[in-house]
Amino acid sequence: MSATDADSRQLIANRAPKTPALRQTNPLAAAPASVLMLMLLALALLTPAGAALAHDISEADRAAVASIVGPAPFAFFYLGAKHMVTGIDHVLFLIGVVFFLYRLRDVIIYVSMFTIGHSLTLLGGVLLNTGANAYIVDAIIGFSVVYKAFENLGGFRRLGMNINTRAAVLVFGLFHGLGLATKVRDLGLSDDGLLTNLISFNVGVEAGQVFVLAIVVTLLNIWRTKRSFASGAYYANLALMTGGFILIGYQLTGYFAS
Amino acid sequence: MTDNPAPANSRKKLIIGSAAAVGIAAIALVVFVLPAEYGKDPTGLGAALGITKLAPTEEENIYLKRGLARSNVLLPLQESATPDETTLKATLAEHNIAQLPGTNVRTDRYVVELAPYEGIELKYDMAEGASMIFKWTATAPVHVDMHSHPFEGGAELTESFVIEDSVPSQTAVYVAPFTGIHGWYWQNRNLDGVTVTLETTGQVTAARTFSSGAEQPRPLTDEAPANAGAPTTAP
Repeated sequence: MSATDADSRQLIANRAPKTPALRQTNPLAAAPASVLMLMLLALALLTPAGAALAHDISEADRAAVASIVGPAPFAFFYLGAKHMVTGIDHVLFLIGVVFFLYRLRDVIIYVSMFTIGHSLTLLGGVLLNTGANAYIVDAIIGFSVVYKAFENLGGFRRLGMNINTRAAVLVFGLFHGLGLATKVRDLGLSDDGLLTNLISFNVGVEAGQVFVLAIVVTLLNIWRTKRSFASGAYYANLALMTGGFILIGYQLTGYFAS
Repeated sequence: MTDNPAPANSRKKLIIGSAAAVGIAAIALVVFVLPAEYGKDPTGLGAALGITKLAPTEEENIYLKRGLARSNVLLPLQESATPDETTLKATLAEHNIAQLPGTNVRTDRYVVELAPYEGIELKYDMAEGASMIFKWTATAPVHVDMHSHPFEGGAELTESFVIEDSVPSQTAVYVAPFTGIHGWYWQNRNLDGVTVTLETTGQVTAARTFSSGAEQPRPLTDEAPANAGAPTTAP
């Protein structure tokens, strides 16, 4: 749908101004933000996992997984897809990421960055048994929604900050993966068939992501052709930001209450 | 690589919009999310709107609700109590509970090592009215669900007596409310291995373990708690 002639022409037309834009980007300008993100990541990893693990996976799923021994690729594929599709935090972030991406190529690039990020920490987190506090990780995931919405509003440019948006999506992808890893470990996976089940879960996450994106990108493409998009984009991103703030508050309250 | 063609909004729009987002989020949190998810209701509006009813409580666990409705099933003891027949009899007498006649008193010792996030369930077969004294300790706090269900009716009729996330030990006398299987599910939610050691004395006839859904019979060790030292070597 998006690979129309108009899009291809736009693609070629956009190549020209892109190169100078690349030059303008001072790699050092993104450094403080990256350092901040890495510090947040370290903080999340150092916070004791402990009792906060037991939330967000339904009791029924937990009981089902407890009865699984050995490889069960389809069961875990489904759980991964279900978690992505029903996880409002991931969905809001994805909406934010693709909001202004009207070229399929850009959608693929950004979503790949996100996928690389969350797959790294999902696989790594479970296999290395790295502990992270679920509330803190989920609060940072909420923050990623606020960040993306603010960026979509042109907030960082207004503040004079030049953030590498692709790197930011990658780094926030790492946090989303850490959140996924915590959910998987909360399921109480048995060591028998761990790798198969984990990879199946990861593949399921990607399938769920494609499903969500197909709907979101289609709806956005329809909306983009309407006049209401220009003014509506402002309110839509404010709504995303509000959702992100609610997620942060929800998770932080959980953290301090536990 | 800022290739996102997002329009830049005016400073005024950004400030007003962001403030509105924070404000609406704060209201939604305080009025809806916190009362519904945690039962925290600082304004009282959550209760007024009937939202606090959604908050999960311990009692909402149907199994725990059933188990806690009973009395004289779990008689907690000091951690220092020895799980032997003398203490069992004394505790039962203290609560005016008659020991079930005609059932042998046997002792058992069970040691299990749990890898991170590993869980195991140990169950004893006990007749209605049968009693046992038990003591279990873990090298680090574990999640525990002490529960039982009758042979007739099965898992549907499960009753829980304790469900807690971080418990280092438990010492008590247990009086079976029905004929069935009675015991514990332990889960290690630490990042290191944990060893759980259980010692029991009571009118139990058999033991079995459930690990990852697989049920296995386990012979009782008949090892007296007083000289218990060596780990169980079940054949």
